[in-house]
Amino acid sequence: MAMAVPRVRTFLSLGLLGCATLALMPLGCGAKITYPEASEGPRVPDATAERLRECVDAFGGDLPRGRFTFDVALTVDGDGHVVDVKSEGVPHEELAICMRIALRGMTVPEQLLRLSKLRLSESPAPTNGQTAAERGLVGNPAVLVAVVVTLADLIIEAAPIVIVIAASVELGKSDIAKYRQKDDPCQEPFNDCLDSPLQSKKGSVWNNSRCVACYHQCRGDGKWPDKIMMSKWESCN
Amino acid sequence: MSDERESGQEMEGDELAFCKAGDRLFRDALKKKLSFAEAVDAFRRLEAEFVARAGDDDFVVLETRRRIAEYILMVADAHHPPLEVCRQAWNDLVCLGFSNIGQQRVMAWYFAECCRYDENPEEGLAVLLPLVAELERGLEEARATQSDTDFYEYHLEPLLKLRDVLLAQRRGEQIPGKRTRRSDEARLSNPEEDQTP
Repeated sequence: MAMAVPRVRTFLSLGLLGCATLALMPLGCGAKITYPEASEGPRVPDATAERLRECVDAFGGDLPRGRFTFDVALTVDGDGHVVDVKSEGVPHEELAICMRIALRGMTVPEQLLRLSKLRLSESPAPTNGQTAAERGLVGNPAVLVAVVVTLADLIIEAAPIVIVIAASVELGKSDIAKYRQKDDPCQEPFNDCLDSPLQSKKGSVWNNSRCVACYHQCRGDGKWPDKIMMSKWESCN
Repeated sequence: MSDERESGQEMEGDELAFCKAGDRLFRDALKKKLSFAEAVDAFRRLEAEFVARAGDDDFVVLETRRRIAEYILMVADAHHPPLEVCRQAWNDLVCLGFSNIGQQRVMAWYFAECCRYDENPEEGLAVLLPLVAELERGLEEARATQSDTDFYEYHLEPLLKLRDVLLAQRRGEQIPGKRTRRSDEARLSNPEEDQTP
């Protein structure tokens, strides 16, 4: 009987230690990253996704059971560096800070900056009442208004919570212009013109296309013209 | 007034094929997928093909040769070969003549821009100033007769801008925001010091 007491103490101590360890362990060392099956288009870079997962590992345990959608708006400069992060729907200050730090370190891939390739996101997972179109591409490069590209939703599952990160990347007007005009203000619009129906329109002289005629005017003015003078004013866009 | 052709119509046949091929080559040259020499070779092959297709049509043959010479001058503007090369491209074009004064204005601008890049304002002004004078005369006549002045104003504007830059170069002034061969070479030597767009 006397031998039984130390054994019970040892057993209880180990049990208490185990419980304490479980209680202090961050939620879901096994938090898992997924994307919606039908998602298309650009995604958060893997390194950033991993950092976001670490944030959820560190602070997600403080959240009640359920599904949370975090809307994140990133502003990116012409070199693809994130210059501002705004987040909504994060009901935990430290988690929000951790996520903002992770996203601020993100570099947007160059192909995302190539505006001619940007498309409206077809993400099937509208969040916070926003449709894909609302969260998608706003405006287009030809008119040089702000462009917002929606990244595929990033889903971090850490039972019993699921966190959906709905990120959009915004390029401001000046940044778009800077990016496109980095080398030559006429080259990109000329490329765009060749990919448009204007390519087959007559220019000002024989064997001369409208696009080349617009390019001439661009070189002289330093900017792509809206229209050029031929036998009458003709559009360049 | 302008003698330019009716605009707004679709090209077809050989004209469309020529423009598609020529514009693609020019795009590749702009993107530096083709060197200046490669672009010239490709344009000469295009010229041979479409001159052959034109057969006895002297007008189409001449216009095809002019367009090729113009493309080559435009590539020279983009690639900045030595000024002698740009001068040769301009002289080739002068020998072929210009389709109209609007086209002459456009091409003179390219050559004068080559001269500006190489900081040779005298040669650029020698080409620009007579053309500016001719367009200004036309403008005065149009005003006197209360005719449409748009054509002259439209073509004068880029020439006057470049003329002013060349005149400033002649006075030895630095032109902010304008690349020159010297500034590009300096940038290659000291890339971190370059501030020129």
